[in-house]
Parts: sequence; C-alpha cells; structure tokens
Amino acid sequence: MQVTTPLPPSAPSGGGVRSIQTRAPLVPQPAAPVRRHHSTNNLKRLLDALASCPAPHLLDVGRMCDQNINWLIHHRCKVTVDDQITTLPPPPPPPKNVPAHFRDSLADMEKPPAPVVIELHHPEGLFDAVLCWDLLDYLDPAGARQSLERFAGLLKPRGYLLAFFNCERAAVRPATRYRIMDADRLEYEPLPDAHPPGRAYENREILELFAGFDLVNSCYLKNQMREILVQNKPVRTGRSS
Amino acid sequence: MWNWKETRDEKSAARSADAAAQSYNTAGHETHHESRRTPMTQSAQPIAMIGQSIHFKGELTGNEDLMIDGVVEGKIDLKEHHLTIGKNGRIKADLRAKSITIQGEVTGQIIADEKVDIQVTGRLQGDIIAPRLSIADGAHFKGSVDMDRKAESAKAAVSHDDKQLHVRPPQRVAMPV
Repeated sequence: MQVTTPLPPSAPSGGGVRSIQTRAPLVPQPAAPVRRHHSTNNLKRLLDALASCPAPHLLDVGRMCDQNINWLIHHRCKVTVDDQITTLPPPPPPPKNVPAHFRDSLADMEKPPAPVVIELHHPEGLFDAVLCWDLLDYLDPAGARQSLERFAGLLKPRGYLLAFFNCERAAVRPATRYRIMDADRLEYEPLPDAHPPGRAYENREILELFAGFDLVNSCYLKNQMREILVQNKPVRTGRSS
Repeated sequence: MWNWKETRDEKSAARSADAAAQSYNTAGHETHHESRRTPMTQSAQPIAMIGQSIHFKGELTGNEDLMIDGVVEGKIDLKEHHLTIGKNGRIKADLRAKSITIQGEVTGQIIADEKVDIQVTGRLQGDIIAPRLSIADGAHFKGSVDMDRKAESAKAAVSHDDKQLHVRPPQRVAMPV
C-alpha cells in the first residue's frame, strides 16, 4: 500500500511529497486488556464492621494501587502497604499437553521442597484488618496456610481478613489489580505483563484454609470470583510462629 | 462522595515540578560542554537545586521550591513549597513540604500538606502523612499512609464556620392581603 503525505512547506527536503511504504500487519495485534467493573459484596461489610474502630489500621498485601489507598484513607483508615505479589517468584511453567483441570493435581504431586510463604515484618496484633485480595491464588496450599497463620498473628483479636479467589478453571488467568471504585464496586484491571496466579482453589480447600478463623461472609460472584471475609479468633492459642 | 478533581494549585505544582525535572534533565545532558544550568519553572523563575555531586547532612529548611538530585541525610522542611527528589536523589531524611514528587530513592517519614507523587523511577520506604497519594506503575513503596487528622478536622471546622457565617437569615415575604 502506497501512501503519500504532503510535507509542510518548511521541510528541509526539496520535494513537496514524501512516500511511506507501509505493510498490513501479518499478525493481528492483541487487543488491549479490558478493565471491567464487578460488584463486591464484602468490602462494604468490612467497612461497616470497622466503623466502631476510631482509626482502623489496615494492611494491604495485594498489588499496590494508589486509588485504593486514597479511597481508604478518606474513609478514615490508616493503610500500611506491603505489596507481596510483585515480590513473589514466578511460578514454574505448567507441564505441556496436560488439560488445565489436571494441572493443580500435578502441581500437588510435584511439590517444591519448601512452600513460598509470605514474609512480613510488622509488630504482632497491630492491624484491624488485612486486605489479601487474590494473594493466596499465587501460593500453594501449604504456603497459603502458613501465610494465613502469619496474618492471624498480625491481626488484632477479632480483626478482619478479606480475600479473593478466582475459581475460573481457565488455562491462563491473567494477573489482576483490583481498584476500589466505591464500597460496592471494583474495577478489575488485567496485567498481562505480570506473572499470573498459579492456583485455582476449590471451595472445600478455601474453607479448610480459613479453619482457624471465624467466617463472616463468603460469596460466589457471577464472574466466578469467591470473596471471603473472616474474623480472627478472640484469643489465638497454639499458633506456630 | 469525594472530590477527586485536582485543584488548580495542585495541578500547577505538579506542572512546575515536571517542568523543573524536564529542564533539569535537559540541562544535565548539556553539562558536558557548558556550565550547569539552574532548572527553571514555566514562569522562568529559578528553583533551588541540590546537584548530583552534593552530599548534605543536617537540617535543611527553606521558603522556595527545591529539587534535590544529590544525597541528603537528616531533615528537610519546606513548609509551603514543593519538593522534588530527582532521579539521582538519595534521601535518608524526614521530609515536610506542601507537595512532594519522588523520582529517586527516599527512606524516611514524609508529611505533605497536599500531595505525594511517587513517579515510575521513585522508591520510597517510610510512612506518609498526606491527603493524597499518587503512585505510578513500577514505582516502589513500602510503608503506611495516613491523613493528617488534626489538619483535616481543623479544615472541616473552618468550612463549617464559613458556612455558618454565610447563612442568610430567612427573608420575610410580604403576603398580599
């Protein structure tokens, strides 16, 4: 395809016309990731639960998002940001020629020697709530269990923890950042360059993970996300460090 | 519920910081042959700058906008002015300013009356007290964020007083008999 564009009169070359050779792209360009808005059931519930605290202190261990921080501090929260997802090592590549629904079982059989556990260096019992977002989808069950033990230690007695699980059994689930639009609505921003979560938990596994907490609300959304809000036990006994 | 639009002051502060950074970077490229230029704002007013080779320890106060591209340890207090930490800036200090833009590395507590802006090359480890925070994708931040509750409550009280002052008494309307 030949395209001719007239040059401006001040252009240095003598001719008034320049030709540009362009080719039609051979490979279709991938569409830009679409941000979608979805309802949230537990964020408002969490804020309502924190209403009795004079200045609730939240720990956000999900992907850093300035909009969320601004929103939360304007809802009289103090927010400690400790993005754990971007510091996680990338998951091992999935085995080839294996259906997606078998991959988690295979991953269980070929367990790495030590699970990835979230390392947090904050004082015990400091926070009124922990926002996990979908962090646990990046961890295997052993790592998730140990990380939840750690979160329980960081929470005050009767403190809250909010976690999301993507229950979609698609082969590739993109990494996602969750932006708070309002108390009832989140924007899901796909991050194609970030490494995706490696795990899709079953409902049974999710409930097992939170066995050490009191369940406040668990809901399964139309977009195949499970939101779970749990509360720390009043006094924790026999917890491993 | 909240007014997310930037005020004109915020915008102009951010613009002047960008302009300062841009003009400084341009100047930086040209310093191989010429003497270092002072960064200029759009209104051609020079802003103070601590250059890349400067290492300062102590307490730094001032009444004008400042850009730091060197190393500062201690305390920086600019009160009503804008502070920019350039890409080469390495700060281990508590910072206080009207608004703060971070392009380099900062470790310490930050108090800003208006806004903290951590740009893509910025790295901040420390606690922030500011009403607004902006973090670019790729920037690094670890710490806590809180609003200055006293200032906010004072503002709220002032606005409440203003409203009370501007309340008009109900006017009597003469009714036709």
